[in-house]
Amino acid sequence: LFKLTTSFESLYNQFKDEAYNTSLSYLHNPQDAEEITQDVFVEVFKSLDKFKGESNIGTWIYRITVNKSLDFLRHKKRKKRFAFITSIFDPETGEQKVEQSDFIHPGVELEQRERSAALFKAIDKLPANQKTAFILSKIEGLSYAEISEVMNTSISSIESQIFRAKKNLKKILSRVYDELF
Amino acid sequence: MDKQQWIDDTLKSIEGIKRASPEPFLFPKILNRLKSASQPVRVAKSKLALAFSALLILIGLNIAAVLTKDGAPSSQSSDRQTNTELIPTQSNPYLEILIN
Repeated sequence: LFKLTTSFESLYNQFKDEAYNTSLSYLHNPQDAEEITQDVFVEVFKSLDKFKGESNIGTWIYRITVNKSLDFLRHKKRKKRFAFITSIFDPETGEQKVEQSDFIHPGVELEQRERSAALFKAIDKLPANQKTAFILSKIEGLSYAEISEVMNTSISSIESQIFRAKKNLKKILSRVYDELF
Repeated sequence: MDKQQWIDDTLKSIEGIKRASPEPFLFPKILNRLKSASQPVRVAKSKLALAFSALLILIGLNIAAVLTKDGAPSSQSSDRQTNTELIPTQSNPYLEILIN
């Protein structure tokens, strides 16, 4: 058991930042990202014997992280839709609640914080596949080949997802610019 | 500021982004979750007895139902007859096509 825990700990130390940073890029909340990171490594521990080694272990951990983050977002969206009215108005005062503050990624340079917050807000509006391809490429720095393994699709499909993601981000940011200035 | 320039700069704002790390006590939390998940679930004896009695009652009721049904006169054949009578073959063109 000691050996198993030690090897699991070294696996955790090797990939904890990847899992946490990826989920943080989706969820924009450190507590939620830590919860997902916990879920990811619990599943990794439980399914380690099922891992056949057909793909890289890092790719496998990324795949679990992406799936868990997307599931979390879907669940949150469903809950949000259900509690739409209560989330807009304060139940006690009846006044409209203040909008949630912008997400500032801790790894962004100080002078880029404001702009990156607008970008993360725009990334949040992308369809799931485009969002995943963009996050894994631009935030995690994976190659198209690695992303294609994580997303279980071809490299050309990843190229197209990222191209469309950039196009959509430009459209969203253009609207944001019109609202701001 | 120029709109296109602002969009391009915003898209470039995550260039050189550093990976964020979770808090240092996350690993012990994961181990705790794994430990609690691997511990056997203990069920109180009174709950087990209650579940067993409910199962016995259910089985008893089933046996009683089967025995009562065997003793009662069967109405299945008359039901079947009634069902066939409900289909007017003479006046149903679809059935006539199927028969022919």
